[in-house]
Amino acid sequence: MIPDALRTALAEEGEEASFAATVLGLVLKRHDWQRRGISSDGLLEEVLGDRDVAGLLLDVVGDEEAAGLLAAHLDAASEPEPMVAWALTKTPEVRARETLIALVDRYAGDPRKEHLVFQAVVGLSRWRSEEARRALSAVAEVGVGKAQALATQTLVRWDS
Amino acid sequence: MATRLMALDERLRLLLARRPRRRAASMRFQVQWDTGGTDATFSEIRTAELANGVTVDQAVSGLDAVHRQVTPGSARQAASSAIQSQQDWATRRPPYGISQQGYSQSEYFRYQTYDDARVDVENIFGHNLRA
Repeated sequence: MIPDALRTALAEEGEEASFAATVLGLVLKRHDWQRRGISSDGLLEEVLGDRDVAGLLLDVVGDEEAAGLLAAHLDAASEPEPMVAWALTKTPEVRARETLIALVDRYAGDPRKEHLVFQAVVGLSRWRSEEARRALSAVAEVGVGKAQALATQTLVRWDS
Repeated sequence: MATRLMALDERLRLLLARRPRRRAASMRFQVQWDTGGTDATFSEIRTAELANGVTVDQAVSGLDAVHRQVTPGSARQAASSAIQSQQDWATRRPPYGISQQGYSQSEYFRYQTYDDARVDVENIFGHNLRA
């Protein structure tokens, strides 16, 4: 379950949504680490400044619901927050991958969305698949700046 | 459960109301390989007051610390040059530093047959590596 405070913040744009996404991304990553037996680095607690709240969030937040909420922000926001895409790169949920690919399809060539697309490319570069390859190829072809550079480097690495 | 959720919600509202002024600047340093498989992951963080940001010295020490975590020793040795490259990259950031939230920089290294062994530097929050 996602607390209303985070839902409300994520529905905003700018700093509010960015903070909520950061928190949800760190929760998703920690859940993934817990499943894999990887030790925590304590970043969620540091960002929140409250160990109790961090512990409660880890208990109540469901990954599928969180990924759906983050995806909904990217679908609906007129100015999607790059940290929402960042958060989606922290979970292996299928919905996250689909959303990042859709993000690339929508914004690959838009210079104003370079950092947003960069975040999607970071995530897709860790999930090798034909769909990811197609999306990265699009960014390598029409993308800009660091997003294009990372997409190109990833494809070269995959083909080497 | 409902009471617990209400209490959590109230505390989150308070946290949201006080940021970003009181939040810490933070960076994460990781060594990883076989993502999606065995997912070997070693992670270290460094934080600082927001006004100062995480310094280059902290980043260098964070990278050293995560490097020390890496096992087995063959992986630790394989990661050495990538750790050094990331430390060099951090050292070249001042005076402008890095402020984009979520920005990450990866340096890949050869380890066994993995093609995704890497050292990541990630800017989580704040204007860091200015000094």
